[in-house]
Amino acid sequence: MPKILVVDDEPDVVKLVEFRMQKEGFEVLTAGDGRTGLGILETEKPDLIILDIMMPLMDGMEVLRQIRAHRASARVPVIMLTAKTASVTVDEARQLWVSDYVMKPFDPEKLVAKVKKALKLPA
Amino acid sequence: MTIPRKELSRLHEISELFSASSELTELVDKIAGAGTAIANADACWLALKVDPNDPLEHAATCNLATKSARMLSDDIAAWLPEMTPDTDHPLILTDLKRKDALGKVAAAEGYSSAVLVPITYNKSLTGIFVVFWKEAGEPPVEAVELLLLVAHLASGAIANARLIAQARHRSAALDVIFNVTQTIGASPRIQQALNVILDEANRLFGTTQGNIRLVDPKSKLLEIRAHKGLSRITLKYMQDRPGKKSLSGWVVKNGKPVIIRDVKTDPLTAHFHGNPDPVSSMMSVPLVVGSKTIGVLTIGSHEHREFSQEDLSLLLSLGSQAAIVIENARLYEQAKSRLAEQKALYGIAEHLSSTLDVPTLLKFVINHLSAFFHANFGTLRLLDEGGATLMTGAMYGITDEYIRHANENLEMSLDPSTAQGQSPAAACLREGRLVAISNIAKDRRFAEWRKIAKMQSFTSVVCVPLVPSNEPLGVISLYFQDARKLAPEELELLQTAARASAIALQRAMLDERLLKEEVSRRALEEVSHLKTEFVSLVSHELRTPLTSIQGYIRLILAGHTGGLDPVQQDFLNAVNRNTDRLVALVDDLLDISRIESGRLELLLEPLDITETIVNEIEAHRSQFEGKGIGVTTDIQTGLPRVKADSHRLGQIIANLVSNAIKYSGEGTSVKVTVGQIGQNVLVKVIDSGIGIAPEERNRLFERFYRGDNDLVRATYGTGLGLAITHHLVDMHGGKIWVESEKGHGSTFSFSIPAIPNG
Repeated sequence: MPKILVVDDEPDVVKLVEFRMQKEGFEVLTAGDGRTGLGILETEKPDLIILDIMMPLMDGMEVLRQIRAHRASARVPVIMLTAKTASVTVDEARQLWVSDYVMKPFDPEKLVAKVKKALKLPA
Repeated sequence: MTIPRKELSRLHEISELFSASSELTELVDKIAGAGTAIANADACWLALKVDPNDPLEHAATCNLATKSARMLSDDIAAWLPEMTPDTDHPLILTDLKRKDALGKVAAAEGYSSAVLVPITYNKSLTGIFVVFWKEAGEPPVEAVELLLLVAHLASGAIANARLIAQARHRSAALDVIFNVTQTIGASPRIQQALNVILDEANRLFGTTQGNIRLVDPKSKLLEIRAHKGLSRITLKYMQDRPGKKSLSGWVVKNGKPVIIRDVKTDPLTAHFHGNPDPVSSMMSVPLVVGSKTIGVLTIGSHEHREFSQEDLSLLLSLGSQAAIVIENARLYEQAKSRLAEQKALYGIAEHLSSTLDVPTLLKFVINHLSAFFHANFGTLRLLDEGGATLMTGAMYGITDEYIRHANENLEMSLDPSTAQGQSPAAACLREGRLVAISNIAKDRRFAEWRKIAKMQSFTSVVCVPLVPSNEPLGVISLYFQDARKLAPEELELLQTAARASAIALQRAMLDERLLKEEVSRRALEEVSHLKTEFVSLVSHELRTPLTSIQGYIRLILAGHTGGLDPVQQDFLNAVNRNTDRLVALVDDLLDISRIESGRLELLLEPLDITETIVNEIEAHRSQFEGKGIGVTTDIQTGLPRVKADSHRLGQIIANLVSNAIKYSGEGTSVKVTVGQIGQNVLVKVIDSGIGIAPEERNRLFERFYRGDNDLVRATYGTGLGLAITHHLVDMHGGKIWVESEKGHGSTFSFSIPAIPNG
């Protein structure tokens, strides 16, 4: 059963994604900020990470850089949740190998489709 | 007129550039270069008049062959139409296919259009600026306006450079005279020289007494400058009779030498009776310079002498030596004082041309002029914008206490029916010329002003208008506590200094205005920046809750939380639709704000436009089906790829497709075609909807514009979609347009550059 880590500072968004992913039969780990998310990665090995870009304390780009810096998580697919305002960082995210982007607000069904595509599962 | 920011700072630079050169030859090159650059022109020719009555002559060029400049200059009368200097109107020539020199130059150098800009000074034409463009058609209005401003700056700078050259030249000439006269007869030696002449005369004729008297240039009275063998009583007697009723007076009046053989019997010396100094015979000769008698040389003997005509001639030639010495000394004194004046003026002019700060300049002008003319106090008043009031710009010698007392005088009305309007300063401005009053108490014209003059305790006043070129800027007033009459040279000097000051002031004021405009422009930019920041922040803050609202509604609608009854399903659909609208509104506002602030960036990559179009039609499938609108596509095969931002290209297509759905009736059809025209890929979205009236077509792409009919009013929209679409197409280097007829559908087309061989 694929394991997914969701990192977002909005508890409602975390809960929404968690609910929908569990419906799909995935195991879900959640974190309310970047540091907690990175902490989880020390013990867990998720198959995919859904990461919000705009977060206080440590923003998504910094979290992504640290994810890529660790050998264990260097090749984990990451889907970024972006606000439209953050287009400038897209170039850098591309270099850090991002599987896909989902623009907030998003349709949960589209997120599911992108997760399946990244995990190479049948739609 | 509004000057774009870039040009504004360029004008500011030009103004500084001009003020840095006082050499005319250097200045004209700068003017030609600056004019060409700011108007984005290809070449320029500058012609100037040396004197107002002279013809225009070649002065400088920029990117123009010497041969062309010569042709233009030699034949100027034939091609240059009459320019009216007082209107400041430039002449725009869009057709240079002419047979005259201008046409030949244009043909030889490949210019298609030109603008002739007059340079005026003091209401007369002093020069002309001919600016050429290679590109055909009318030059941009802004370019012409900027050229007028440059011409205006140039006019002041040229006048200033000439004034400085003149002052420099004059002071050099005076330096020569000064040195010559100094070697001939320096001032301290004049007395010695006169004494020597008198001694020589007495020795020559064996006489015992004599004197040299000179006519005072101002009082016209006779002054004793040298004497020998005269008792104190005689001297006193002579001093008491400085007028014409004396022997010397007769000689001056008649300009003739005279021999008095017997003092006792000669009628000219009848008044000598009772003279304690024994004198029997005398000779008296006029001292003549040119045709003017400047004094008298007289010798006398207490023994009787039979002076001959030969003696008289000898004395006359001695007299002319004295006259030369005196004249030299006078010239020396005059040269010395004029040299000092010219040097001071030259110093002022040089300082003026290097200052661009208005308050500093005002203070400098009034302080230096007041001190130079030994005025007790002085004011520099400037006309306000309406031209009805004078505002005090700077003062000299006036204490703060006095200012508090006379505060109302700091602002002065020009209305002649008021006491202030009767002031010498107001009169000077009204008449546009210098007003000098040596005693205000005795001048009938300023009866009303006398009280104020008494209060301010001044007797004399001189006012000179500040006229830089055509319109007066203000007036300089110098006040003297004692009765003071300035000499004509002093008045001339004051006027020259006022003119130089006025030019410098005008330039500084223009510069200040340019600077102010730039500052306010920056403030506006700051406000606009804050607005963008605000919109960004608000839209992010709105988007966060919307993400949760929309996400949960869709979870429920998708049935993940269990089944819904039809009413619940219907109501949740309404919530969902309205959430979509809110999201769309926030997106549109954010987009327009970023577009307007120039902060929307495209991520360009080679794209297959067909794929984007198919995707967007698919995304609108449910809306098409909802209204029963049929959609067909006609896509040319083998289309080149385009360089585009995939998200934004999708947004352009989505906007046009959703508009087509919104404004089409049920059961109609929409067709999307994609083809290639030249180097562009062309997309058309064709509907058979309500159509657009001709008068609305032009306004369609304005932000917040919405069509004026019931269907539009009944349909949701922010009025931002097409404005954003228009901008996005623009940013991709494409074009968008609409063809439509009211009631017969619309076709929105946009083109986007193809990647060559892509």
